[in-house]
Amino acid sequence: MAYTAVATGKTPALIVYLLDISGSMDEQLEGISKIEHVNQAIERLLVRMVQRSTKGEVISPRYRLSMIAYSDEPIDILGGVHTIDEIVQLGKPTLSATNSTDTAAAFEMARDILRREIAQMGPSPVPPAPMICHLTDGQFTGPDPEPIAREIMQMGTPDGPVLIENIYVGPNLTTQPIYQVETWGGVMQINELSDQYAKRLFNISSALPASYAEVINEMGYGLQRGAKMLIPSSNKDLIELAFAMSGATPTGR
Amino acid sequence: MNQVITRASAQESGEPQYYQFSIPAPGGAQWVSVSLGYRRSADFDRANQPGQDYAIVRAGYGSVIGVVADGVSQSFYGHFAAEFVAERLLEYLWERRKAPPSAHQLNRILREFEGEFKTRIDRYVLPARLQSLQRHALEQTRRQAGSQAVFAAFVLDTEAKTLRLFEVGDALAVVHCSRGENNGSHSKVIQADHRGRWSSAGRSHLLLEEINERDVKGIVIKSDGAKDWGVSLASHKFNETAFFEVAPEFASYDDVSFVAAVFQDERSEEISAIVGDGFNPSPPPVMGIPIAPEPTPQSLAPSSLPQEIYPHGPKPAKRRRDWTSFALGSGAGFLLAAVGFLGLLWGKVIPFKTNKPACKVTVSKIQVPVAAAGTTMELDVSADKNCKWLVIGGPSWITIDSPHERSGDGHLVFLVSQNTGDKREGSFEVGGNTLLVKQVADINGPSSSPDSERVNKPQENDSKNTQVTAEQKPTQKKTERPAAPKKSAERPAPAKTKATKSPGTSRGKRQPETQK
Repeated sequence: MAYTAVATGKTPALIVYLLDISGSMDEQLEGISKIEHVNQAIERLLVRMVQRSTKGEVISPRYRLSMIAYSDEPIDILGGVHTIDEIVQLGKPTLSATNSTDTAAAFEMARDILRREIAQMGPSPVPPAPMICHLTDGQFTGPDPEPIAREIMQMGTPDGPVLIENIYVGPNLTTQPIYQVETWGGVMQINELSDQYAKRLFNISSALPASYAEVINEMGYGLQRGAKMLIPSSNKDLIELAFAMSGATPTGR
Repeated sequence: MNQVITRASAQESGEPQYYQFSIPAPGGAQWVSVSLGYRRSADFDRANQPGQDYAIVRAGYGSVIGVVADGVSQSFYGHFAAEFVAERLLEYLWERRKAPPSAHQLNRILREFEGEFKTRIDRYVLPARLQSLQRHALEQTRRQAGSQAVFAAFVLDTEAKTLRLFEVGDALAVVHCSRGENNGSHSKVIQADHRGRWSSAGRSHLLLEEINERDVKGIVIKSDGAKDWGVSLASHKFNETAFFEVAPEFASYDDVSFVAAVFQDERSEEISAIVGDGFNPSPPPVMGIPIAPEPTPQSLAPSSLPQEIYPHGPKPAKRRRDWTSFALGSGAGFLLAAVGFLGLLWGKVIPFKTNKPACKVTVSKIQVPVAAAGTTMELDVSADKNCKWLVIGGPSWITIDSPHERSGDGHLVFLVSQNTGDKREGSFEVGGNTLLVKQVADINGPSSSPDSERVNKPQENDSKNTQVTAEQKPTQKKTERPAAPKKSAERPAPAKTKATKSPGTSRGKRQPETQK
């Protein structure tokens, strides 16, 4: 299978968010702090997930989410993996920036969550491949997270290996500015990136599956299949696109 | 003078629902078994929320109209759209059953429905119990997508055994015909472009398909949750028991609903309700559904069918609405029925309406002479800007082709069929005014040309928007027809497309309306 499993109440999509809340996330981007951009994008993401899960007033548990905020150490901000209907009851989380950036510790926590969750997934119907959505604004200060990320990419379900998306918040990350977010096709080659850390993230970003590209295209974005799931987010529109991508697991009507 | 039965599903009920009754096909040799089934998705059981499908069927002597609408998940309360469009379609297609609309005409009508529906959706107040994230999501969905539904709808002429089917989106139809290879029967599943939608948000992307069939043995329309239901009409696979067996499994994934009309040589013992002129207020229940007593053979003869309104039976458990039947036999009855229907729409949201508005409505003519060839008439209606007026009633040979409800100034468009008999008069009401149509006799006597060449064919010499529709034979003549099935060449074609296409399926996408 190739990422065609549909997110349903019986086979929900599992998405683990790794959200960098280090001190630099308090820096300004287009007039407000990066962390505030992220808070707004998360709210829009959750609203979209609710929309995509709603039948009448009933919210189908099509998504199971975990949110890990990390700085010195990773914090499980939802207190476990929760379905989207449970998150509606909990309310949206609000992040604030703190100290350093231990990215590897956050990936380790995500890996442990995935191990537990994948072990509990039944073989049939096939659940969608889980996804890690990692947001950061710069270089890690702890150990290199790449080995753990590669370990995670070996995990998966019959639908496919775990997808890793990286959202890199900051200015001047690409060699060419991205003027039209709606028509932008995504990062296809590493030489489209100008930032060294963005290039490292390129190596631990999955390729966008065709089924996800189709959903994203229906949302009005032009990302192409095969583009790296790496969004150099130099403005709020790109941050929104990045979070939209994380919720693009195919669903039924 | 027909008895009419209408059945609809109850979206709020968590029980499987199944209704079945039969009507005699004109000619007396066959029966038409009409059935409707529904089970809401199990997703709605826990919170006891309404299901998203809506199925409704109406049957009378000579016609069966069925609609299955499936509210779109991820739209704004899709069950609203399903119920609204299904009920409106049923009424419209019933009025047009003798001259079913083309896809082009239906497209226009659906757009008109959309405007009224949008107003209602915009006014809907979200329940206070909803959490802020969900309220935010629903408000955004209301603006961007609106309440959406897909549907399948059919008009079955039980005398000619012709079918006109309309589909939008991924609702499905299974058509069973007796015309197959080596004169055998064949069945086919028909689905329109799955992207089609009818929406309250002014962004309907209908992709409406029109399909015409003849030599029909049976038609099953269903929501996509009904999977392969109705592909086989074998009695052991297509009955109440079989539906109750599969419905729970289907409902574990989605709502499931269907409407079917199947010709039968004999009345099936499975039939749980029979059209007749007797009415037992306390009939014994069968499989949880109350039934009416079986009729005597005499009571089934068309000439003995009652002219008045007969409730078909007690309300099934948990039904929210059961406007079971009403007669078209008298003008007063029809007026009451139409007013009742309009009042019932949306339950308590709108009050009952009358066709006598408090404000003044004027029609440019109140008496219209028409040639035997028939015509399309357009009259001006004057009224104050906020003055609502209704178009109600009329004989079967007059078809209203403009909105039945308007406000302020507008145009009234109606079609008068070709008259092959004696002179005739018919009337209908427009905002409290009675409009009289007088059509002269055909001086050439009954036409000798095949029906299929007369249907909806514009008259070449008539430059004044002339349109000729299929002749509507009086009921009395129907009773004189031989019981044996007619040969296909004698069968009236249901629409002008049939006159120009070779026999068989015609998937006429958005056919142009007859030239005016």
